[in-house]
Amino acid sequence: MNAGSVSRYRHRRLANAMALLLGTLATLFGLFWLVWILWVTVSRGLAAISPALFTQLTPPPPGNGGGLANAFIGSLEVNVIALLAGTPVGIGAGMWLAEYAQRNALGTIIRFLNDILLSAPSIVLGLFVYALVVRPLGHFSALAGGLALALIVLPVVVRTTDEMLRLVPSTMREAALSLGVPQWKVILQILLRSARAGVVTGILLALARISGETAPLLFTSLNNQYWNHDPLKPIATVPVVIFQFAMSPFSGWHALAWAGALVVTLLVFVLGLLSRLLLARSKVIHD
Amino acid sequence: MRPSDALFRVTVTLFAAVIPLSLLVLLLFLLHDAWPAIRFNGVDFLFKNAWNLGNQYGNPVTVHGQQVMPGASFAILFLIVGTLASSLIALLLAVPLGVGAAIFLAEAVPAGLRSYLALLVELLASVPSVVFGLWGYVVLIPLLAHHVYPHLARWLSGVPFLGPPPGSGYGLLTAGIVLALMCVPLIAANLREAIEATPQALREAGLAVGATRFEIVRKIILPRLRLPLIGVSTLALGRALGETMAVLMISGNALNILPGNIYSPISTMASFMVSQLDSALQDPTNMAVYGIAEIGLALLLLSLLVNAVARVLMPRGLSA
Repeated sequence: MNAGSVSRYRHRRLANAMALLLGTLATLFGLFWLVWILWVTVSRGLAAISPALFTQLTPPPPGNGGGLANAFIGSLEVNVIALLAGTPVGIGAGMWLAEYAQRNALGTIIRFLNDILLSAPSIVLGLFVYALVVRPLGHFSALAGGLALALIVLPVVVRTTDEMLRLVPSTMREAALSLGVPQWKVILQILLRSARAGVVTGILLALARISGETAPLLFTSLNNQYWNHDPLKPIATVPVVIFQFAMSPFSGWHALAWAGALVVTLLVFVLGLLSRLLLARSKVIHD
Repeated sequence: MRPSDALFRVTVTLFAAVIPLSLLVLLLFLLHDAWPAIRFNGVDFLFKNAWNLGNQYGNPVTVHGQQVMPGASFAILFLIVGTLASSLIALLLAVPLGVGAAIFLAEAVPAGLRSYLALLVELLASVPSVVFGLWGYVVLIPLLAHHVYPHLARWLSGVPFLGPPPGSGYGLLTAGIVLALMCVPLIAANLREAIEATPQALREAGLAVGATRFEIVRKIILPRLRLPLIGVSTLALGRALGETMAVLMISGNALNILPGNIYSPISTMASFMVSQLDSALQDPTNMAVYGIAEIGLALLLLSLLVNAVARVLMPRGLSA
C-alpha cells in the first residue's frame, strides 16, 4: 500500500467512527429527554400514590387529600363504551377487507380512507361527536366520550384485523372450503380463530391509544367532581383530571396529577408490552 | 351462494362501509357547523389576526345574513402561523435525531440488544401527550425560562427571530421542543423498520467490496430510504399539526398576535379550539362555536392533505 491509499483508508475509518459516534449521540440524546420525562413521572407519581388514590373522590380546591377513584372508574366506563362500539365494527370491516376485498380497487380505497381516519387529529373527532351527540342531547356525557374514542379504536382494529387475517395461509381457507364449510363459518370459526392473537393485539393497541387521550374528551365527556354512573351525564376521566389539576395553582392537585400520569403511563406501557408478547407468540405459531 | 353466506357478506360489507361513511359524515357535520362562520368571515378568516367574540352584552346584529354580536370577528392567521411554525421547528429538531437513532438502532446495536431498545423506543412513542404537557409545564418551562432562553437569546442577539427578549418560557420554541420529543420515537421506530427491510444481500455486497458500515448506510441504505424518510417525516408533521394537549399546556396561548421571535407565546389551531370552547359556548348567537368548527374544518383539511401525502410516499405496513 502506498502512502495515499493508507491515508485514504484512515480517512474512511475515521468517517465510519464519526458516523457511529454521531448515531450513538443522537440516540442517547433522544433517550436522555424521554428517560427524564419517565423518571420525573415515576418519582413524582410514586410520591403521591397511596391507597386513597384508588378509594377517594377528586378533591375540591384547594385540593388537599382525596384521590382519583371517580376518574379511574370514569375512564374505565368511557373506554369500555369505546371498545364496545369500535371493536365489533372494526373486526367486521377488517374481515371484509381481508376476505372479500383483498386485492380489488374498492379495498385499496377503503384501506387508504382507514389510514386517513387513523391519523385524523383527535380534537377534530371530539368536535365532530360534540356536534353529533353533545349538542342534540344538550349536555356533555360519558356516552359521547366513548363514541369519540370509538372513532380512534375503529381504524386501529380494522387495520390489525385486516393484516392479521391476510397472514393466515390460504391453504387453510381452501382446505375448509373444499370440505363444504360455509364461507362465513370459515371466516368466523377458522380464520378469525387462528388470527385471534393478532386481533387481540389490535384491541390492546387501541386501548393503549385511547387510555391517554384527552383532547376529544374535553369536547364530549368533560369532567365531573363526583361519582357518576349515568352514561348520559358528564364523567371524570383520568387524562382530563390530569390536565385540570396540572393547570391549577394547588400543590395537592399537582401531586394527584403526577400520580394519575404515572398510572396512565404504566397502563399504556403494560398494554404495549402485552400486545407485543401476544404478537411474538402468534408469529411463532404461524411459522 | 348460501343465504347464510350472503347475509354474512352483507353484514361485514356494512361494517366496512362505516369507515368511508364516518369520514363523510365528519366532513359534512364540520362543513354544516362551519357554514355560517364561512359566510360571515369570508377569506379574511385565513389572513387576519382578529379572534374577537364582540360585545357579549350587546344586541345581535346581522352581517352578511348572519347573526353576530356587535364587533365580533373571527380570523386565525396567528393560529395558522403558530401551528406551522411550531410543527416545522419540531421537525427540524426531530428528523436528524430520529434518523440518527434509527440508523444506530438498525446498524450498530448488537442483535441481542436491538429488539429491547427498539421496544423501548416504540413504548416511548405511546406516552400520552398530556404527560408530555405535564412535564413540559412543571419541569421544562421553569428550566428553560431561567437557565436556557436568557443565555441563548443573549448569545444570538444579532440573529433575527432568535435574539431577545427571551420571554417567559411559554412559547414557540418550547412547543417545538416538546413536539419534537413526541415525534422522535415515531420517526425512529418507523424508519428503523424500513432500514431493516433493506435486503441483506445489498449489505453483504457492500461489505464484500470492502465498504465500511457508514459507507453502506450512506451509499446503499439511505438512497433507498429517501421516500420512506419523507413519508415518515410527513407522518410526524401530521401528528405535530394535530397535537392538542401538550401544546395547550406550554405554548402560552397567544391571542391575535404573531410571534416576534422563537420565544414568543403562540397558539395552534388544535389547542385554541380547546382553550376557546368555554367562552365560545357563552356566545348567544353561536357564531363563536361555528368559528371553532371552521378552525376544526381547516385543521382537518390540512391534516388530510399532509397524511394523504405521507401515506402515498410510505410503503404500507410501516406506519404506526
